[in-house]
Amino acid sequence: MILLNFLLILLRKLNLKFNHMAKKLPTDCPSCGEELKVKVMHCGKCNTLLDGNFDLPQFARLNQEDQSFILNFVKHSGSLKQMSKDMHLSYPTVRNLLDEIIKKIESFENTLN
Amino acid sequence: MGKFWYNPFEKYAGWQAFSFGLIAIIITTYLGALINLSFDGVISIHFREAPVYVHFASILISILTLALVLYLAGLKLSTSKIRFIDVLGTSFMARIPFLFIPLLVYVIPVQEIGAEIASYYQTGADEITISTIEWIKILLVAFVMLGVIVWYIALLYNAFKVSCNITGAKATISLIIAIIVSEIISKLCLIFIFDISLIQ
Repeated sequence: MILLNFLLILLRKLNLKFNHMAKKLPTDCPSCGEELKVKVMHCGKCNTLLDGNFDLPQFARLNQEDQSFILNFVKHSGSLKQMSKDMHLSYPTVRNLLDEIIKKIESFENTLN
Repeated sequence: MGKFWYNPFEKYAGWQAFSFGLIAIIITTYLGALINLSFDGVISIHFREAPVYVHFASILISILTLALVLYLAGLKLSTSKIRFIDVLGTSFMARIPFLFIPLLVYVIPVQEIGAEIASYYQTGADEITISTIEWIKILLVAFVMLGVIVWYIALLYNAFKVSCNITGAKATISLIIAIIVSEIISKLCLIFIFDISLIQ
């Protein structure tokens, strides 16, 4: 009985953990690889549904790491020097990461045009 | 941890890498000077009797020339805004493996074997006698030196890649050209400044 209770508590904790895990927004079609568009948006408060055909913002098209990097960049007021200290990486490494993200954003813009 | 041995530049560049490299170069050059071992090129090493300042000048001229050539290559080929101190610092830090060479030559003094072989030529002897032990010493030193140079080239490639943000074939070809060009320029500088003969 004690063992059963212990298992139930453990399962509940695991369930809570998975429910709070951040879900990754898919950006490309798993079937054909094309860029996904937003069709339906839902308001969690009043249950309003918006049905349309919306483009994903460029920021959302970047992977999780790149998005974290950009947020970090803004929080550090654009100081790569400060970022390199906080990330424990060399300045040119951080600069190279930024340049890679710039190239990705430019390729998104070229695709749109 | 393993990556640190062939690409420490993701963590260290700029003035920090320059400091580490400079300390290693000072120790290597001073130890080399004590046994007449001169690091007088980007990848060349020779036995030469010269004042200590000539040994230091030789290595500094070589590395500064290389850093300058790599920086110019980076300015031309890279799409990123590169800093000279990153190129210089990482080029200096890439020299750390050379620390092993004077330490090895202290333990296995191959210059004595070289002097013995030179004396055979000078006396016009028909054949040269080298013992098995001497062969083992020569091969061991050659093997370790080759390993050090390969390690140095790998570090230099990563130094160039990180400091200038150039990768692939572009990085490989430009690094090879930079090494050859800076080797030639540094040798010419040494000849003009110290009147050092190219032929040993």
